[in-house]
Amino acid sequence: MNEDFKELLEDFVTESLELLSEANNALIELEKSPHDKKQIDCVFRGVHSIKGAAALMGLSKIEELSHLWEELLNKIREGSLHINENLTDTFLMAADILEKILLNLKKTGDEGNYDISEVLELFKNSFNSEKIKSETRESVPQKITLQNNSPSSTASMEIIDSHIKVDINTLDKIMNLISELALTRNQLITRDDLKENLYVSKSLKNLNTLTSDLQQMVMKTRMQPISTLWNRYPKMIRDLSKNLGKKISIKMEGQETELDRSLIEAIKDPLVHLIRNAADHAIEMPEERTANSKQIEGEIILRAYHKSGKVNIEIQDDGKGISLESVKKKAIDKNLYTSEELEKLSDKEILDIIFMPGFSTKDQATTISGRGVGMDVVKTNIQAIGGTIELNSIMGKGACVKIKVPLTLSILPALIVKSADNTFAIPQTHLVELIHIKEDKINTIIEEVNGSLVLRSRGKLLPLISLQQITSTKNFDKTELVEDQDLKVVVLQSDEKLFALIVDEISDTLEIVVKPLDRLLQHIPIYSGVTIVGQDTVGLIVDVGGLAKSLNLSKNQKDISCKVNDEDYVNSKNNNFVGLVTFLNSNNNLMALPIEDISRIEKINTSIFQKIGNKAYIHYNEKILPVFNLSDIFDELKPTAAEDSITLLIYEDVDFSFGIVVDKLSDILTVNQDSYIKDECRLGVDAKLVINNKIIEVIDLSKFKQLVNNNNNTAHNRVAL
Amino acid sequence: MNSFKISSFYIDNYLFGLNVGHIQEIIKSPKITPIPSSSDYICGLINLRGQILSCIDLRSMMALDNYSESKSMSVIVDSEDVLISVLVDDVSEILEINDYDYEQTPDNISNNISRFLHGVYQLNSGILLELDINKILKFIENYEIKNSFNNNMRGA
Repeated sequence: MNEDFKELLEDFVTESLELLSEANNALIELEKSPHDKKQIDCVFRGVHSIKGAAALMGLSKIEELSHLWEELLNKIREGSLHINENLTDTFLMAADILEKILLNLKKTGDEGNYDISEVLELFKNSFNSEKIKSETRESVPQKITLQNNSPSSTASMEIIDSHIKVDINTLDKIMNLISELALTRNQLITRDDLKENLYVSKSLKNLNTLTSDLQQMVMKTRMQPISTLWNRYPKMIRDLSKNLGKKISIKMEGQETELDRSLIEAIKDPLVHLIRNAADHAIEMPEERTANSKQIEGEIILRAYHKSGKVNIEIQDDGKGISLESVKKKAIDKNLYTSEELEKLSDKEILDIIFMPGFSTKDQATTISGRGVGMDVVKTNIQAIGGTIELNSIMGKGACVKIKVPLTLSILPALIVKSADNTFAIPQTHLVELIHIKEDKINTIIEEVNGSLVLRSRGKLLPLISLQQITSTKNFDKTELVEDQDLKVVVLQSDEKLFALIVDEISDTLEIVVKPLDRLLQHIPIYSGVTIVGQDTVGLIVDVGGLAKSLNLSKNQKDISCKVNDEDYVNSKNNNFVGLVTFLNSNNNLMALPIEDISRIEKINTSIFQKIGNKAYIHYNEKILPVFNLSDIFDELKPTAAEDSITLLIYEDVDFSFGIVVDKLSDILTVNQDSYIKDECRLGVDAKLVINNKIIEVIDLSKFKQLVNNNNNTAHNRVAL
Repeated sequence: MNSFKISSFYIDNYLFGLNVGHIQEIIKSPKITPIPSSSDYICGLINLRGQILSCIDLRSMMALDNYSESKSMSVIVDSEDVLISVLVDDVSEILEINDYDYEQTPDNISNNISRFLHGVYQLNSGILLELDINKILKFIENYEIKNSFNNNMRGA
């Protein structure tokens, strides 16, 4: 009985909080357009439902509050009361208190001793003041209310009916079961003796597609639009602007962008922090804005969209921008850099200082943002989920923070390595490079300093440890290394630190399904989870941050910071820098594609090519991948000669992916986009540039995308005929 | 008079038992993946239809003889929604136990064993030691936390 009530209470709280947040948004809309009946109805509906449920559960405070509130709203709907700023203020205040009571209810099971008398008083006053007014305004037409009321409420009922709430744990369990189903299916379809039976093989094929479909559908159920998170922001911005005495509006684009539930949870705090920052630090006071001939109202724009398999989120403001000079000054004050060091940094690198621990530009910390724990925590949080963060700013015009996060947390690209019969998975976000050290090179590259090993790599000395050493108690020294033959080393990055790890075997990169570690093992700092590799092997997911910590690597490797990770390197200098993969075409000319668009470079045996019509396809990562030749776009090029193995650049996106055959890979370059020559480019070429006296043509990837779409269209046409 | 069912099994010739209400299933131990840098009491992880469970080695927890000739079985125990696997030597029958057979753990049973027991039952064939799964989990948790604390101290 008690349990039942608790469950009921929990449901009530979740539902009421949702209704409240809808009502909050409606109230803010009402401020802008006070006569919007739809918004009043929305608030009314929410308050009404809460009142009803609260009465049923014997929650007297909530009932009393929502009852009076409902009465007032009713008056507004009837037209005998008019909404004004005071009234919305009172409503928002009521919503605040209601939220507090609800949260307390969730935590402790009772309503707590929040004081609602003030709100009740305000409510009552509103009634009275209205009486006087309503006498003078008796001629207000009242018909519209009645018309509008009933249809809209039934419409929303229908929407509610088509959704049900499911406990996330249940979904997780379903997900788990389906992955197992997929495994069992795999075991079945790899058995040759079953294929001989015609009936069985037919059913197996059905089982195969059904399982895949099922898996996809369940994945989808875990996706939520980002608006579930953003819904709270209009209210937040409203409160902030009141507190700060600023005028700020918030605009949201791409609210329907979906991402995994776990990610929504993970980006919640960083986003709030960034928005608060924008409102507090970036947007100027109204007087200052008018003085600079800007609109009085500052604007914060939130944008979300999918691009190349990642979720992109941007927070843009039209405030004063970030002053590089004050960043520099602060960096020196805080002993983060010397002025000589700062001289050498590009503007972009200076902006990146903001992400360093212990940095906060505002001189005085305010209650709204900035206690010096700010941006570095944001960065760490985003990186922890495999994302990246980037900051752009134009003095006087505003700043923009760009965040890129993966679509889901439960699937993670990882490098599978082996050490002493154990299988480990290392998340790819921490991977810097793989090094194969030949036996005869070991002595020149690896050195022993005071009992610990260091690896000389690209002009830096990296602490070198063996995975076996961490995972066993055996001592490990250089003499043992020499007896060994070749060494395989994985260079990892955790925060700003780089270190190298010796493994026995590097097997593959895989998309692994992350499973949580058992409660009994959660305290072991060097693992972040487990996964199943292949048919039945349990692999431990290495927590690179935890590993670095447990090794007690020094924290002062500032010189290494952001210079190694390719993506950071590109971002840190200037936004105009891009990485390019260059290759030779069949006429021996250099061409290039942006590295950002390429998800993988694969060497593939031509025997797995399949020709369908006059197009080639391969089966790649459980997908059918169309393969293009450069000659598909550039007529004068010969198709690549059919050798045994070819190099394929893979482009992957949510809706379509394809591979491009290239003849010979040449290099990976970082170039400034300012040096792009955009004139007189032939069809399919985005730009030209000259490097080392050679012309490189940068291919326009959208041409290939068009080809993919054309193919789809012709396929549809054929079906139609 | 109340009676309940206990599933019994052997570890190093002792007859242990667990209330069937706690047991999800009993399987032949699948491949166990060791976890480097965990304590000796956890001998590794098993993959039970996609769920990864820790395997508890009662033998080393109770400081019993480490050598076992018999095949190992896994008793999958459900404790407050957490599944764990307890390794045993061999599985015996399910016994119907009467409340009045319950006896306090005799003092002469070594503390290594008695601290994991719920109680002892006198059977015709001998003594049945009923395990308390919560005591076992508490012990491991405390041990592991102490262990990692010590490791951290050593590191610093």
